[in-house]
Amino acid sequence: MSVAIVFDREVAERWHLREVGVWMFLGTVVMLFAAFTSAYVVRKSGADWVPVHLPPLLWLNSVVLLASSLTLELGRRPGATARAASTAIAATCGLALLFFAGQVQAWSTLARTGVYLPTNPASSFFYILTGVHGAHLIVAFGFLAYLFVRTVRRTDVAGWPYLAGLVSTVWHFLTAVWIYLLLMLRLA
Amino acid sequence: MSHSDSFIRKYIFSTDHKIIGIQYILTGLAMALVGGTLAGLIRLQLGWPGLQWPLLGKLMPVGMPSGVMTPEFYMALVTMHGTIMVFFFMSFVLVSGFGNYVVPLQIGARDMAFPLLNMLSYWIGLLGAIVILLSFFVQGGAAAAGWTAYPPLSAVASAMPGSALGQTLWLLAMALFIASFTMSGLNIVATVLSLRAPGMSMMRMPLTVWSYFISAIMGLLAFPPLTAAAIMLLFDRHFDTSFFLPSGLIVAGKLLPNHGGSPLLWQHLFWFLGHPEVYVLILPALGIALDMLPVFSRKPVFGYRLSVYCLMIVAVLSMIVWGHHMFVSGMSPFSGEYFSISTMLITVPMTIIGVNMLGSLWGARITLATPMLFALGIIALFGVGGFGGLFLGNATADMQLHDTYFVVGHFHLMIGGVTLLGTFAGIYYWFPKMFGRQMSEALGKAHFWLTFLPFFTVFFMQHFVGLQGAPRRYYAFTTYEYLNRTHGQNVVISLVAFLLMAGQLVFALNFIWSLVAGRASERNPWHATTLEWETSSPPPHGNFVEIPTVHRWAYEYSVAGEALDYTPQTVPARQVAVTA
Repeated sequence: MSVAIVFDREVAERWHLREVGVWMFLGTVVMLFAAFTSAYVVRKSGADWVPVHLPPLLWLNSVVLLASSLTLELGRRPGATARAASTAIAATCGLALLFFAGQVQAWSTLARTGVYLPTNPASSFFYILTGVHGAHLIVAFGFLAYLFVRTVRRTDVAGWPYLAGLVSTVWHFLTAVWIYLLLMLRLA
Repeated sequence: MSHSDSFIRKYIFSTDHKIIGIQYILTGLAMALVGGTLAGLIRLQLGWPGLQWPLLGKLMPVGMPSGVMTPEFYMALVTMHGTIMVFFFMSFVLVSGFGNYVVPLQIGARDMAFPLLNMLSYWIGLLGAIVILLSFFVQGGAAAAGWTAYPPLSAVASAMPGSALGQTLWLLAMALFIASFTMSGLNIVATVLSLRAPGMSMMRMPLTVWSYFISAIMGLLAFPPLTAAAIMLLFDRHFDTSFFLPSGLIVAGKLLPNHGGSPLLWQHLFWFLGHPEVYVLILPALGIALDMLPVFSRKPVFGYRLSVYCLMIVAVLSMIVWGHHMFVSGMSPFSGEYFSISTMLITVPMTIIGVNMLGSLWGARITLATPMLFALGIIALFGVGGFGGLFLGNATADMQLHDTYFVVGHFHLMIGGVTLLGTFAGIYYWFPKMFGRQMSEALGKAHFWLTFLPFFTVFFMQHFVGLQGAPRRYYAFTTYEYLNRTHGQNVVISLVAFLLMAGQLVFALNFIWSLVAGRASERNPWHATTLEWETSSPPPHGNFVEIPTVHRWAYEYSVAGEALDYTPQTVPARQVAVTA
């Protein structure tokens, strides 16, 4: 069964509405991280700023998250069979869980070296930024899991491509936010 | 469109935008009662500092032991009055309440874009309101660091009684409010963008809808930075981080472990929200006024397109002027100059909107119905309040006036008065639509004069108290000799403030009496042109039997050669000529 062939105007309009809502929400997330960035830049100018030596694992985590975006795209590509879509989205879920585990591991690596949340402003930002991003990703993971269930059960075939499109929009967005945060923490 | 639901599904956990709008309005009015009571206590203290009030002492043994108010309690009153009025009254009633009720009706939609999210938004907002009320009853009492929650008072639990659990609950309540307000804003934007009736182009939308649309976008962009700041404040409070707490801070005889933080960082993040929030509240009030003037003057609104563009310009400029709240924070003179100039710039579109309002009245047949009185009151307060803003937006003048009662008077006229009058204008105007009954005009007019005159007197006088150097947030003006002369003025202000509060009883009476026994209203009692009056009052579930088709703008009044002096937006061009 191919998953992206049914068109229904009413369904399209309903999902268009949701798409508008999602993009507006992502706008608020941009503003949230913009505010954190601004605070980061201001606080970094303080004399007590000691850069955090980022655990190398974070780079591997980034590759995992990027890979999850890739598998999600593979799963929702036009012409993909239901089985291929299920497999690719299951892989996305697996990679997402791996990313979460990796982030927790990175936290514990830092903690083992004596760098805790209140140690210095740089470490405070590291834990909070990764935490806030992780919180967003956990919510997005809920939608990803829902997409997986819908893909396996093959219900609402007409709405599936739209749902997959929205979930991927959010997921890719959060992947991009992570890459941005990592570069900011590493370079800025 | 038939619809049957249980009472609970229909009126309590409803997804109908009209019910949710009314829920917001009623909740907000209840919160106004609390916020107003707090204002009464503040005025009692400022009018008669140190006087014993035995009955109040019995009611509030912690805040007013032996009937005399403690300074800590006074600070909590000031903080909670501001927080409740701005976020849980004005935002609830004016933005989320009328936004919910009016926007879908005026664009010809059956409901909001996301009805379930809408319901969730109300219940989360209500939870926030409950949390903020409960904070009065925890150990140490409610938050007392001001509605701006400046650190270190807000960041150090031992700083003062209200800095303990009360401040944590304040942050929790604000988080719930922001979540609720974001959902509400998302809904308004998506609804306006996607659910307009056929023919309802953006430039045919009533200015009320434009103002809500722009205000919702502003809210969506301005609130997240406060969320970020609140997260960092929470970590400073509970996990010993140092975002906002500087080194060497000694509180209650104890050196705090924090180091290097910047209290000014909080101020920047707070005001990045705080200033746009003023416009998030004021724009809907202006939109409502702009739409009511044509209804009660029977002529088209003046400068429709210009008003739309000015609302947009105000929205953009409002996001880049926050620093004018911080002129005395030690910012560089160059930054101060920038914020002064950008603030002065914002007066240009605001003045144009004001002139457009006056232009709408030029040569008109004005009917002084209650909603119109409130709309005219908005013009007056907007003008006078805006004039005070010219002084405060100028860094040189603000250095002298900062944190005095001049500021208190100014922002009450604007964010308090314009929005309060907008709220009442909206209630009197849409009451027949909401409940199918008419409010009493006689009581409405009495209410207007008992609101407008005392409100103006109280806050106009406060400008002069401020000019004499009286600082805001002071518990009593008895310590410094130079402030003794303000005592008599404070007594007068307090007495007039009580008259203002008493005047609201007239509104309460009118509201309740009209709900129960008000005269049945016809479908379009004001003979207005907008779509909400094309359906029954109150509208059915789904709003319209058939989705209307729009053929013209919303201001087709007194078209030459026509028998009726108004032409609804649904009347085709072949019947009545389209003038704009």
